Amino acid sequence: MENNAILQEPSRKGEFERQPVPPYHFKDWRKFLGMYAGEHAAGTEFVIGPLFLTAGVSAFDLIVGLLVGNFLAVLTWRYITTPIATADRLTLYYKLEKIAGRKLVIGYNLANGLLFCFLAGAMITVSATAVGIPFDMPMPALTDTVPTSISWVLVVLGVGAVISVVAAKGYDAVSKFSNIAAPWMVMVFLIAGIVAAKRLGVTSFSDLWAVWGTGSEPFPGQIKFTFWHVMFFAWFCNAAMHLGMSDLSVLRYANKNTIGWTTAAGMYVGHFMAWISACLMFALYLRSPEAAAIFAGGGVPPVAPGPLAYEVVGIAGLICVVVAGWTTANPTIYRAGLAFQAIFPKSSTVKVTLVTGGIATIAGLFPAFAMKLLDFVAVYGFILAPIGAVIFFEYYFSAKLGLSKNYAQVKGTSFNVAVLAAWLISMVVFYAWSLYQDVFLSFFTLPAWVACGLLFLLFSKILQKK
Amino acid sequence: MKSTYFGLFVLVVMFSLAILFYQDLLNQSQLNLGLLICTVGWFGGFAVLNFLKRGGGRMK
Repeated sequence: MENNAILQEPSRKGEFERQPVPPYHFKDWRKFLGMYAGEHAAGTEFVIGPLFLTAGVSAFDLIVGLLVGNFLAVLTWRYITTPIATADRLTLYYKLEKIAGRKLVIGYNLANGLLFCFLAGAMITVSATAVGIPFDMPMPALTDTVPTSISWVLVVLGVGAVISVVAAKGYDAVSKFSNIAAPWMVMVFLIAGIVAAKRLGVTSFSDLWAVWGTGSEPFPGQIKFTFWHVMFFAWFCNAAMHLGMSDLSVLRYANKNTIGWTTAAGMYVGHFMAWISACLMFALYLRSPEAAAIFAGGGVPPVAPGPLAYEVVGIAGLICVVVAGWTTANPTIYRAGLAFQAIFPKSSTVKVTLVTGGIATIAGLFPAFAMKLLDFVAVYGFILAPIGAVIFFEYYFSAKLGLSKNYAQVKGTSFNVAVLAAWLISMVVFYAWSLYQDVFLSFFTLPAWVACGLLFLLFSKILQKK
Repeated sequence: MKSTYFGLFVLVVMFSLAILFYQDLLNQSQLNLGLLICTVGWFGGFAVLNFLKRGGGRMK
């Protein structure tokens, strides 16, 4: 999902945290191209690719759905996020504080921090499947939600403890390490796909198409994915970053708006090539005698990135899974720590990061977060995206409607009730709708975003009239 | 600049190994060994380049 360290942590150094980025700090497209390409080749890609296969997706739906969905995500970054980022050049947090007030930003930070913890937990799970191989650890099955063995618990606790301590003490070193590792990881993903394709007997595009064919019945516990599921998932799996404006913090360094196009590197390397490679690895595993025996016994084969990568590219694959999980969990835990620290400003960064790492490790013990990653990522985008609508609608429509810009700052309030009401109502209504009608949540990300923006304008009009 | 050329060189070698495997000129264990050597070379090489960049090479 994400792994950016080059530009993402200005708040760590207090760099332009509460002021616009000055022109002499603007960066050109090269910095962003490398960052986005590396950022989206993360540990979770090893799980997301196979999960598409477990959802019984067909070749057309997967390949064309990813092409279209990723393009829509790039367009969203280019035309929704970047223009606001380069106009104001502020972080999401400061921009939100001006509109919504400090107390509401704390609420946002809490949601953000918790979701980051669960995401980091999934990354710890991914790394544990690779670390556990030498210990002959039984891998969790797709339907497992709780820890399945003592060795699983011990490996996850070990991996989580190392990642948490490093995130708390040696963040900068890992950040540099992840920048070095990113091109190598992308190459391992590509090679793993090529090798899996070869072993599946793929010699032409039609052979590749035939790997998925017209799809299949979804595995137990999974819903059937169509073109629309794939497209909307690809578009909104990073909704928190583009529609949710989290990437304002990164793109405010852009020297021009066209830099928004560089996000295509991340989408088509990580969310196209890497997902399809991981999908091919899992397709190869499903043809193995081991998987056949599991099917014959009425079971469900595990989606375990470690064994999948080891089977295809050997020890280099194992190292890739560990590094991908580790280098992405590290900044995720750190960012979650920063979000929590905003709530408890007097506590030390090291302590907060360690506690955050502990929560992420506990989450990592439960395979449900990794095995239900498609659903979790959809929830993650759905919850955080509407906050971006407040910024977008305020930016483009407040003057036309005679509303005050940066209301909380102008009014001197720490809590703008219009923002909270719009966020909660849009979230609760569409989440309940999704739950009761059994609709895939990513279908409702955009309606919830638009609803939140419109409600914010309506409530602001009422509030400011008073 | 040296590190860019070094990185590109290792990536090209890794990709070449995959192509050789695809053309049946390498078997799976030869590919795995090649990729492992490239991996060690990648991280070891960058560690050495980083050490030299920081002035470690002047100590002798």
